[in-house]
Amino acid sequence: MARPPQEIAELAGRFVCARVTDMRAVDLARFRFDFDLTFAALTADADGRVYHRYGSRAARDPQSHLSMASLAAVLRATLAEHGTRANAPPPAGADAAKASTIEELPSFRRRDAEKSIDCVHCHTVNDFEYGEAVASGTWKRERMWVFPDPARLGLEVERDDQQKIARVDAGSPAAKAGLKSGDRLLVAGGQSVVTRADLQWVLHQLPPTATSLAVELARGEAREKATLALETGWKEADALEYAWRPFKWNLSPQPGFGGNLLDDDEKKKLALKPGAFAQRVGYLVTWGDHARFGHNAERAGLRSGDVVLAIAGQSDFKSEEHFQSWFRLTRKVGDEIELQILRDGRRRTLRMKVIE
Amino acid sequence: MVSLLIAASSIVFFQGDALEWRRDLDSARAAARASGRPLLVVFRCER
Repeated sequence: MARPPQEIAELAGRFVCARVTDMRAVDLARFRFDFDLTFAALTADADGRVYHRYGSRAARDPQSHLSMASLAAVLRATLAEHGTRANAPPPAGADAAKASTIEELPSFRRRDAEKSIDCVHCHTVNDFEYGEAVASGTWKRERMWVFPDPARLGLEVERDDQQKIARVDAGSPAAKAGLKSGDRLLVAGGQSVVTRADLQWVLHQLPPTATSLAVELARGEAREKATLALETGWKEADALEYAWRPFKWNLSPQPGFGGNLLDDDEKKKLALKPGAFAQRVGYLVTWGDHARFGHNAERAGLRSGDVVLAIAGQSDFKSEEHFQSWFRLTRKVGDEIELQILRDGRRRTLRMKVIE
Repeated sequence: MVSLLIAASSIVFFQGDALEWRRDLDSARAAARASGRPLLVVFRCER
């Protein structure tokens, strides 16, 4: 049987390793990570106090922020920190924090009773927690911005060495605070940062009303401190950045339809430009919990087979998921939207009132 | 290339016989407590 890379095997061999494939019994109070991911790792002590998080992704590539070098780095950092922490007594009550599992959510128990859930996927934690908050009237839109991308600060880190800043966007909070590419980000918000996911965890915990983020950097041999000023809305992702998240599917409002984008050959047959947005309506949502959203599309007169060319004047969508994300993040109940469509070779304008 | 590496390696990482992977977090924490070692918890779907 194949073996893991030697360095990883040696490092991981100094841990107690656990592989979790079902979130049902996971203590969500201790083991929180970006649940939308398909790969995530946490390092922690026996009390469940997390040292570091690993696993993050870009909008277009689930693997682009992962590498064996960065995984090895977080294992090495954890071992070094654990050597220090393991010699210290655990804080009082460290293991007494109340556990919290998805099974405690009434909506999960109801669904499980109706239709036995044989495997609770990571991303469904977001779905059930969201549903619970909506049902209880405690949902706030700001909770949508889970594990914000470092792009919200105007920076990106390197893939293999995730403490090292690869890029600082001009005019961004990071740039205004004096951060430079090549700096090493060691601490953010008082927390040790070894990985991109660590930084995202810090941002995740910051409220949207936060106005600053203190960081500590290594610049060459020097250690520097800086404070990033956060502007109103700093936590909000744009639709493309959010498009990959499964979490988006349950958010509302929804267009109530979907379908594949036409390829260039199909567009040519319809006399459409190769780069133009053209989405064939493959389905109206008329089933399940989301059937109410299908009313938006049905009442607009949309039919399966129509080709949508623009919606609310927008046509710069890179994918079906980008469109779906855009609708949820930018539309609101009560909006009236124009859809430019192609049906039977003729262009038409439909009007959709977003009622759900 | 790196994407392929991590994708392939993650499978190797999990399925290789060089490491013992526990499936239960409570027993993993108990083992960590008893051994003094830290925990590495990986979340990844198998489907």
